[in-house]
Amino acid sequence: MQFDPDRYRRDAAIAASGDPNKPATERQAAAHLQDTLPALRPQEPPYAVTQGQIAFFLPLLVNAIFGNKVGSFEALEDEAAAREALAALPVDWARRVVEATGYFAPSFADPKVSRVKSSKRIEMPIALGREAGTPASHRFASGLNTAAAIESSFAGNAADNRLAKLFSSRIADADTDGQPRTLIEYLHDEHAFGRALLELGLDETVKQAAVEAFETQQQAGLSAVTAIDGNRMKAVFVPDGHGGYWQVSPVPSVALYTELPRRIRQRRQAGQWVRRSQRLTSAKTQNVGLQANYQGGRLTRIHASYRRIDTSAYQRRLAALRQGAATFFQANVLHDTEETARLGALLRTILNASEEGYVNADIRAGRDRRIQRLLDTLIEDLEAFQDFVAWQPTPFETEGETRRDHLAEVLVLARRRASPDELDAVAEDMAAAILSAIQRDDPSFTQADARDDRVYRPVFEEARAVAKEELGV
Amino acid sequence: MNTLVIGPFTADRVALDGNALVSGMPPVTALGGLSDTLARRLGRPAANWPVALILHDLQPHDGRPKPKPDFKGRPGEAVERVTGWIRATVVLLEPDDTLTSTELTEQTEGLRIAGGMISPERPARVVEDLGAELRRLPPGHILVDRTDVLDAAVAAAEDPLDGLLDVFTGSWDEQAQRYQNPWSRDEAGQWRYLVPVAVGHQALEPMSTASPRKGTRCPETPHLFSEGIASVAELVSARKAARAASRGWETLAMFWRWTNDPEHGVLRLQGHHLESIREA
Repeated sequence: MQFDPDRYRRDAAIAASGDPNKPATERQAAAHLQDTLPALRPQEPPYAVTQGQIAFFLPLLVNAIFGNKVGSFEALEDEAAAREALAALPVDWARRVVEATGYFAPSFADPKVSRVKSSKRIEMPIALGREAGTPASHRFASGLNTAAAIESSFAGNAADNRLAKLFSSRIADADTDGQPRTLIEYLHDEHAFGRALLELGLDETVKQAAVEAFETQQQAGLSAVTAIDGNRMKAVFVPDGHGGYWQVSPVPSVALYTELPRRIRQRRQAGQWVRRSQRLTSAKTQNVGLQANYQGGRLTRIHASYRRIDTSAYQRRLAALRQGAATFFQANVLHDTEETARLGALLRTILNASEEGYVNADIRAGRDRRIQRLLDTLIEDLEAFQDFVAWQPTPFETEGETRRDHLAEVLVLARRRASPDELDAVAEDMAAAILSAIQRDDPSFTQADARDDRVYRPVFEEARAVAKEELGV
Repeated sequence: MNTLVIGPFTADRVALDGNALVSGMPPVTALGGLSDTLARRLGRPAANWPVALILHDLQPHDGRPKPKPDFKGRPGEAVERVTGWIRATVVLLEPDDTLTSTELTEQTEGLRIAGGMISPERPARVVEDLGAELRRLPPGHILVDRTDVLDAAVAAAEDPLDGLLDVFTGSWDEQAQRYQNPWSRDEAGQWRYLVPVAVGHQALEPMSTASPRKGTRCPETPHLFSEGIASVAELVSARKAARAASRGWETLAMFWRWTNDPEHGVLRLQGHHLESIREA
């Protein structure tokens, strides 16, 4: 969003109310600015500010962060108040804050890591930086290759949040590339924004301390880290391919921690569906991020669900077959599937062809293809059942005399010597299962429709061919 | 090459956390750990044996485990975990061809998978014909590497995270009255059961300069900070794969082993099919 000093009051009033015809009051608009100016919320693009406007923008930013409950635009624009707030910053505070700001935070994984003793912290920082020369994969998502609205986070004390917010505030330089960068990066690069901050009253030594700490993080990177908190962090052994190992400690990145839930939310709002799992990691929101209004402490992930192959009905089906009364093929294997619905629609077209519409070779070929797929499903079900039966002790003890007993044997024991009559019986059962599944899916598909020769004949013929192939001599 | 079959077994409180990107499936990295543990019990360090997982059942447990009190007796902050009960079978390929079923059964006692203690329903064994064994096992799914699907999705997306999300995002299909995803169908239009899995680590520092750090489990082994990476796997019915004429189990990339790419800092388990392992 382009920042315009002449219009920002009106823009804030409109943004706070959400209605251009009914702008919010000054108090509400100022409170809204206090929330959005630090530009850390993932929903908001950060302000693009020209170098000429920065002298006006910075006091707003500083007052929004350091002022308590700002109620008016005058209080936000008060340059003296901003100068006073900046001049009061101690040096070691600045260093501590930058050191605790990083791209990877072990405390996400285990909140106890944030309780690392201060003497240990020198060896194992509670937030990890990012080295410029680190190689990154192009195939797998990680914090190294994901552009996120929030990339870094502050994992230090809640009391230090304000200064961390100031240093981490992202502003885009509208005069150059327009890419948002944090204030600490502008300070480090001797940029016009950094100089303006010094002119507003930031002490030179505070700036030096912050920039030095930032440089150490950027240049020395993780190689400067000499220890991990072994009591609380994982170290996984991975074979290195030469008979030895690496020890690997996984730490999540701020980018994925904030970006994954954001993108899932965007997709869900667009009517799409992503299965997710949400877990609380810690009650401490300051461990998660600086961003005002970000729901912290919740780890959102893509969730995989497992559906087991259900054989619970097999024992019952076996018992039924032993009694010699049941057909093997069941409509519920096909019921409520896409293939069944599409075959139903095609058969309806064929039935209506004499009144309206027509039937051509394409429609007939489509019909046969669908029937074939449904028959494949039935045969798959049969084969799975055969596997089940093969490991049952004496599945069929007596040789039955009825047709159904023969059928069960043909099917289940895959005798491969079925007589033509038995093959016809199997094909009838398969056709009945398919047509019954269509009837269940579509109540307008009547029994009479299912018996219609234009419907029944092709289904039966296909089933007969499959039965012959699978069970014939 | 010996084919070792452990299971079917059940294991409770198995970690289904995966990593910071995915959850719900036992992580593939756990299979690497199991293969490594077994190899070390047999006195063969860093063996990297190919290992396959056949999942018969999985029931996730919801909720928060009771937090352990820390050293000062205060209740610690609890991280909510995703754990679960699984019934599964693990198949390992032992290259030396020396192990007997009895030795294997002894060595698998007290073995864990993803933190869950393995309770075998049948003794671990060395088998001759894995195809016949797959038909003999309870019905279940083989976990097959489908990084090729991820690669295709990433090539069509803006960045790797969008590519991964695309594979698992369903869009409402008005005609079919259900959520559909184009990646869930193969070239022939057949449905395939894709799941996200945690497959390894992205190193956050150059692997060439890795050195030991204090506080780690071994003072000599080089240490790396890393971030978990996720890929796509397919669950293929084991019995169907065992009896299929085409796309049979021998052709499936079901045997996972560590395959590292130091150039891009990737340490991950990659699925291989039987032939490629035999050739290697």
